[in-house]
Amino acid sequence: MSLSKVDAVIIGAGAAGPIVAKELAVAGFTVVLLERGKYYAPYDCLKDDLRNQRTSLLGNAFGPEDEGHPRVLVDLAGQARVLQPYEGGYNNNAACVGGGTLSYGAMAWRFHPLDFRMKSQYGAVAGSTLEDWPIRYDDLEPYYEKAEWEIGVSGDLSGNPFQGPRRKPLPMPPLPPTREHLLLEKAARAKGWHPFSIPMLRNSVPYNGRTACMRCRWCVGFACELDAKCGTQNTVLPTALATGHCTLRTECTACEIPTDRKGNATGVRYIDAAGKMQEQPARVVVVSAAAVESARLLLLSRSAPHEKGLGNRYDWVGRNLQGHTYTGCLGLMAEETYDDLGPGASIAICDFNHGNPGLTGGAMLANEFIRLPIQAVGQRPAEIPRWGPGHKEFMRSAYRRLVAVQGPTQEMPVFDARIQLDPEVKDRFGIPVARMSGFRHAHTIEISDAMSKRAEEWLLAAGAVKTWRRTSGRGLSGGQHQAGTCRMGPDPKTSVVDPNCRIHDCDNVYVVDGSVHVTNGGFNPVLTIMALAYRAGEHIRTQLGRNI
Amino acid sequence: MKRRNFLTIAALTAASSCSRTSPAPGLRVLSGKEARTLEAWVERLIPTDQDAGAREAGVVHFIDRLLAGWLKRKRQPWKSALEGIDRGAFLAYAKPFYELEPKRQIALLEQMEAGKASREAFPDDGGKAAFELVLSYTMMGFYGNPRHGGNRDYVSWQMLGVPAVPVRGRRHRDEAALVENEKPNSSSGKETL
Repeated sequence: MSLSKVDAVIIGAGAAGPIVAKELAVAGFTVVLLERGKYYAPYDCLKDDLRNQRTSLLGNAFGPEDEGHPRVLVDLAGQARVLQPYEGGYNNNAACVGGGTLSYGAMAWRFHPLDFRMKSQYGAVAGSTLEDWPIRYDDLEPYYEKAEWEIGVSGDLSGNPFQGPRRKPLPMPPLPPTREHLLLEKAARAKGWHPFSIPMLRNSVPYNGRTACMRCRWCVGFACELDAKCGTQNTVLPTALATGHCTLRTECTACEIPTDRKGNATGVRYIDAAGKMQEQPARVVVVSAAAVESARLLLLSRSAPHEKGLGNRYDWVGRNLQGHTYTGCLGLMAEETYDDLGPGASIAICDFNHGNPGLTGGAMLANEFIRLPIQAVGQRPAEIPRWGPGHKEFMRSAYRRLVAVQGPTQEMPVFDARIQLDPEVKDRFGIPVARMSGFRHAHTIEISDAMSKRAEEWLLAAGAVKTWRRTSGRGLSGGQHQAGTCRMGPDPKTSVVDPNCRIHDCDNVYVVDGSVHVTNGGFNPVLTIMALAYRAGEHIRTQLGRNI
Repeated sequence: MKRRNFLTIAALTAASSCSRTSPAPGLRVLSGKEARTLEAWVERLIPTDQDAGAREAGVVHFIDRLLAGWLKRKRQPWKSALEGIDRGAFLAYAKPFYELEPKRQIALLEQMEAGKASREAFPDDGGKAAFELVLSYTMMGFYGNPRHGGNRDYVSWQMLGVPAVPVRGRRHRDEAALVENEKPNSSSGKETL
């Protein structure tokens, strides 16, 4: 027996899903929000240095579960390996209510206006599907603002000349600076650069009925014990649920979007918490499961009108998987800089996002989040031994003097960096898993190396007595910043969704998450995902209103 | 394989697993000998000096607890590692690893790190995988949060000058979890590696 029909069923309660749910529910439309993971409360923080979303040595704290959710990664040599969610290369994004926003570091960047026009600005790049977005910064600006004020962002962008126009400042001031911040600020100014306080989805003062950050070090990777981090789970989701029009169903895994003879969706088939197959009929289906799983679900949804999968008529679903190539530099300061204050990341420059001679884009550079002791183990320079007295002496003498600067290099999209369905490996429900293959573009590595050098310059200017740069390999990108697999574009032949996030060859299926990003900016992508969700939510609301 | 051979091997395997020693007092999985070998090993990776090393941090206890939990179905590499390093020590010096002088222990570990330990002890890779396995878990047990049984009394965090977990109204919850996990040999039956 199928469930009663609702206006919209949304798959995934991460950064985007609950925003769309709220936009529809407050307008009186009925919504079912499906989430394959669980709900976690602030006390699930647990402060476990070895089992969290950033350091998953003993598993992921916020899903997916350690077993039953494998993926397959094909490496550069063509070897396929089955990976579990806590293993490197799985490209995990948290599977829980709030998704990554429950445990993220919470940087709240707007993309730069040029990030939407990469091809116009720089021209084509050989071997890359680099393209302009079909929408511009100005189209998203009101929705960026809405995300900043509704979800809650602290920071001070007034010192950053490298940003698009904005109508309103951020709603909260930045947290007070750390020692590291002050050192780096002075150094950047001496270089003629433009440092400023990173915008963060984190309460620096009481906001939206929640308290301010207490500045502990269990921050990035952890659910905030004080609920001072602002995610979708503690902002828009409670608002949506309070309307009485939105139902959240956790531990429910979507496995197919069935369609009618015309090819329009009739709802979602999913496996509920008890392991039972359910079908939720709906007028509109919104896929917000992040770049890997959204693509997988569309590919799983095959029917006569959509033989190769929903939205995949021209073989673009799952293509252009990208994330961010994080490189940078570590520096050993002459004096102690560690002051045990979270979140740690605090100061940034956008001087090198664009305008780097010979490079197609660049990256925002910022200091790293506060470092847990276990995370420092892998951050030694090459000549320091990995064990024994030399290792111990390095940790003892360097831990409180280590500063890292890094940034998310904007990647050149690669058509063959992709998600497919694995022909053999199945998940715990017997459904084919994502098979990930491809590589990073060579130019992405060139840009990220240049960014590492800039990071090194910054550290040296701040007084580092020793520096060592990080580099990246060519392996497939994705990770928590995964994007690109359902590209937005005007032409059905070279994209999956239209500028309103609707799948080209289907009237009532939307993809709303990082999947639609044409390019992924030189910034953490979450605020852009949120802004797109507000924008798509508004569009869907209009569509639903029209067709009553 | 002939059926009779198979049965013989199966019988031998069964016999050997029955004859294995039970966990040492205070441990869940490791035998006394295994624990001594592992303790000597991790102590060389993070030795005691003016600050506590891996031994005092309870890294063996940490690994033993994981072998009863997170590593429950991945015990074979640990068994091979501990047997291998002892065999390596016997071949070279006719003594178990934990009885070697520190200098000789370090020499053997360096050979393993380079994948150049005796192939009789480590047929596949000269000890490389075993070395990396124990190194990674030693770092976790030494620098990680004490909730998994390592970093006893926050010794590594004290060394680094990092404050312990602050008490913010939910200590009772952590402590309840710790008490539950701290009962060696009390859960359903003793287990061996």
